[in-house]
Amino acid sequence: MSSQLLIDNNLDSLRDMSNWVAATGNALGLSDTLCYRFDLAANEAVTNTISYGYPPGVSGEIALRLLTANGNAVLEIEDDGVAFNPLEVPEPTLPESLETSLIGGLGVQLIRSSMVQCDYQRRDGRNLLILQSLITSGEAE
Amino acid sequence: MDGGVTLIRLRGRMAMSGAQKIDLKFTALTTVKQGAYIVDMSAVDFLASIGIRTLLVSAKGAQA
Repeated sequence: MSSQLLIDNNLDSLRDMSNWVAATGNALGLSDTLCYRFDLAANEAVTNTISYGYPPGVSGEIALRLLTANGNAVLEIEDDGVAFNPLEVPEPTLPESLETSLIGGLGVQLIRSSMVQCDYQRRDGRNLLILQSLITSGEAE
Repeated sequence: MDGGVTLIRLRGRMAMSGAQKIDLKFTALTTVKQGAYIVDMSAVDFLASIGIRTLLVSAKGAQA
């Protein structure tokens, strides 16, 4: 089973996206923990895409697909924005104190830490981010 | 609270729309008055990096 959502590159779409992740995750039988992780990863990835992936005033389309396959739950996020591989963003060094902490830069790290595997492809002029987690991994906690 | 400590209770989702909704009020609350703040997050059921940003900006502001 799989389900697809199309949203435009508008930050107001994020709420619809989260509702879709929850509803689709439930329909696929994913645990609340796993639904939370996909909701978080989708929010971080799509917020970046909408904020930085398109020149001002240019409209775009972002497709999300949530599916299960071979014991994995998979979230695919595909957009027609400028070519960008978020997985090339270096891992941030965690700050030692409030004074030395930097604002921002945590989004990609949250995606990595909430998923078991992350892959990126540039295909037919579109960015494709494939995020995977074990279906059982959310239930052991 | 006693001893000049202010308690702020947040609830709901701290994703984009939630963070935008509280940003101004939260930053104003935590920077106007000198002192310590406790932020009760027990009713926050979702925290994205945009919400961490809100907390961090205010924490830096309150400390300055």
